[in-house]
Amino acid sequence: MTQWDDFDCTLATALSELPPSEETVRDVTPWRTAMDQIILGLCLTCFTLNGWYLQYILPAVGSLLIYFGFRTLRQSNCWFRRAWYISTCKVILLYISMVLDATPFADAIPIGWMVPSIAMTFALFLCFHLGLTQAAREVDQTPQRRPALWATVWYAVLVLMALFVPDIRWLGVIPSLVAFVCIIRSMLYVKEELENWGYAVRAAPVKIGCGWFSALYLASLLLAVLLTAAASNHIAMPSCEQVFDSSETAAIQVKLQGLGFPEDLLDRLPDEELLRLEDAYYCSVHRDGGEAEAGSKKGVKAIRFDTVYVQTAPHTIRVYEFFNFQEDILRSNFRTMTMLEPTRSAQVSDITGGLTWTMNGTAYRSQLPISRQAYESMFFGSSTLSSAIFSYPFFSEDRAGYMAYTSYEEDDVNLTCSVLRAYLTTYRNFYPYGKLTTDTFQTDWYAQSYSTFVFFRES
Amino acid sequence: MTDTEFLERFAQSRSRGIEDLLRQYSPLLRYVIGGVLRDPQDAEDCFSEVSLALWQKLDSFDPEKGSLSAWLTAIARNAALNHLKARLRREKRQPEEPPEVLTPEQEVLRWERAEQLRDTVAKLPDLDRKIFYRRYYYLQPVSQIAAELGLSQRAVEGRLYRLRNRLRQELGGDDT
Repeated sequence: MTQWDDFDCTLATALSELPPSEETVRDVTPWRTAMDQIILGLCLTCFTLNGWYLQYILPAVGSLLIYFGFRTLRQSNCWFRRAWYISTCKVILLYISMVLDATPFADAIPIGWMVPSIAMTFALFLCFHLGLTQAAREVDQTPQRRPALWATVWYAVLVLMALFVPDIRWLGVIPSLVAFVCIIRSMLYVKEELENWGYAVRAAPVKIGCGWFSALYLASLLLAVLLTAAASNHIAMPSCEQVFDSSETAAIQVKLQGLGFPEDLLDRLPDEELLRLEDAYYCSVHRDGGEAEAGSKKGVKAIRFDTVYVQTAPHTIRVYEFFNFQEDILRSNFRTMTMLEPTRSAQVSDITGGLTWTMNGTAYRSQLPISRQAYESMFFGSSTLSSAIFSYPFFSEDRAGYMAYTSYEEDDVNLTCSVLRAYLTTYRNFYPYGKLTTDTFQTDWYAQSYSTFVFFRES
Repeated sequence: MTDTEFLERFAQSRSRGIEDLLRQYSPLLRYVIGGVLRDPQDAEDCFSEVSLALWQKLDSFDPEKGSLSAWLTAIARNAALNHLKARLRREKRQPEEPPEVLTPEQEVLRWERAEQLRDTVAKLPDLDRKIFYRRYYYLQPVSQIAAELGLSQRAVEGRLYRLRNRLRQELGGDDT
C-alpha cells in the first residue's frame, strides 16, 4: 500500500463503505479456484462419453483442470505436491496417447495404456484425500466426512464394473450412474469442508496463467493430432515419370487401337502391361461405369469408371478396370481403396494395377500395391478379394489409375462380368485411426462399376 | 455449525461461543488480515485486536443483513486497514488524524460517489471484479491474487492497470 498513489488509496478507503457482496466474499479464498478446478477435472476424467469426440475432449479438459488445481496447491503440503506430479504425468500421458490414436497403432494402445491411467487417477484421489487431511491438521481441524476417500471408493466401483461387466447395457447403467453421482456428491462435500478451514491453504505462484497454458496445450495437441492424422492417412507412393510412345510397344498400341481400345486409356498403361496384350484379338469397351455405375452420391460424382475387356485366347481375357477422379478432391490425398470383384467361376491371375497423375505439367506413374482382403457381402457371404490402398500426392492433378487381371474360364461360358469398387476414407476414420470401411452404410464416399462381357470364340 | 447455532451458543455462554467461533473462523480472519498486513507480528497483533472486538461486537451482528463470514471479513479487513494506517503514520512520525467531520453537502457528495463506484464495479467483468475486490477491499498483494486465481503476476498487473485507467476515466480521476 506504501507504493499506491492517491487514487488507489481513495478507492481502498471508499470500499470500506461498500463491502463486497456475499458471493464475492465466498469467492475470495485461497482454495476455491483450485478446488473447483480439481473437482470438475476429477468428474470429467472418471467417466467416458462416447460421441462427438467427447471421449477425447472431456478427459483432455479434465486433466488440464486437475493439473491447474494441484499446481496452485502444490506448496501447501507434500501430498498436494505429489498429486501435482501425478497430474503432470497424466497430462503428458494423455497428450501422447491422443497423438498415438491418430496413428495405425491406435488399436494396440488403449488396453495397455488404461492401466497406468487408472492407477494414476486412484493415486490422485488418494493424494487429494491425504493432502486435505494434512491441510486440516495444520490448523488443528479434523475433516468430518473424508469425501475424497469416498470418491476413491466409488471410482473403484466404476473401474471394477468396467473391468468385469464391460458389456454393461441398461442394467449396468443405473449402478454406474449411482457411483458417478456419489463421486460428485463426495467432491461437493470437499468444498463444504473447506468452507471451515480451507483458508489455511497456501496458493503457489505460476509463471504461465491457466488461460495461456490451456490455449497452448490444446492448440498444440490439436495441431499434433491433425498433422499425425494427415500423415498416417496419406500413403507415399513411389513414382516415376511416365513414358509415352515407347518404340517397344508402339506396334501393340496401334493394334489395340485398331481393336477399339481407347487411346486415352492406353496411355495409362505401362510397357509391361501392353506386352501382355501382344496376342489380343478382340476388345470390348464399357465407358462411364459400364452397365450400372453405382455408389453414394458423392462417390459417383467424384469417380468415373471405364472397363476394357481384351480377349487374348478363346478362354482367356485380360480385364482392365480404369478409374479417374473428376476433381482433385482433398480426400483422394488420403487413403483410398479399390477392390476387384471378378466373376466367381473364373480363375483369376496376374492382378496388377497402377496410378497416374500430373504435377507441374509432368506426368507420373506408380504401381499399385495389391493385397488380398477379406470382404463381407450381404448377399454372397465372405470372400477374399484383391484390393489396393493408395493415396495421390498432394497438389497433383489428373488423378487416374487402373486395376487389371487375367480371367480364365475353363467352361465354355459365353458371359462374364467384372466389378471394381472404390472407397475413400471417411473423416471418422481419420481420428482415431480406423480401417477403411467397406460397409457402404457407413461411408458416403464409395462408387463401383459393373460390366459384362460376351466371349468372342474365334481367334 | 450454522450462523444461528453460533449465535445461540454465544447467547448461552459468551466465552464458549467466542471460543467456538474463533476455532472455526480463525483461518478466515488470519487470511483476511494476512492479505493487508504482511508482517507476521503485525498480523498477530491485529488478530488479537479483532478477537477482542468480536467479544464486544458480536451482539450487534444481524443474520438478516448477511452471513457471519461476510461480517467477520468486514471487521477483520477494517481492523487490519486501520492497523496499517496507524503503522504508516508511526513510520512517517505523523500525528493521529482527528475523526473526519463532514458537512451534510459533503456527506451527500460522498454517498453519490460511493454509488457511482458501486455501479461502475457492478459493470466490470467477473474476473476483473474479483481482482478489483481482492486488490482494493482485501488489499492483497498482486502475487497473492495471481497465485490464488491461477494467473501469472504479469497478467494480474496488466488487468489492474487497465482496470485503474477505466475507473479513473469513469469516476473522474483522483478527485474520487
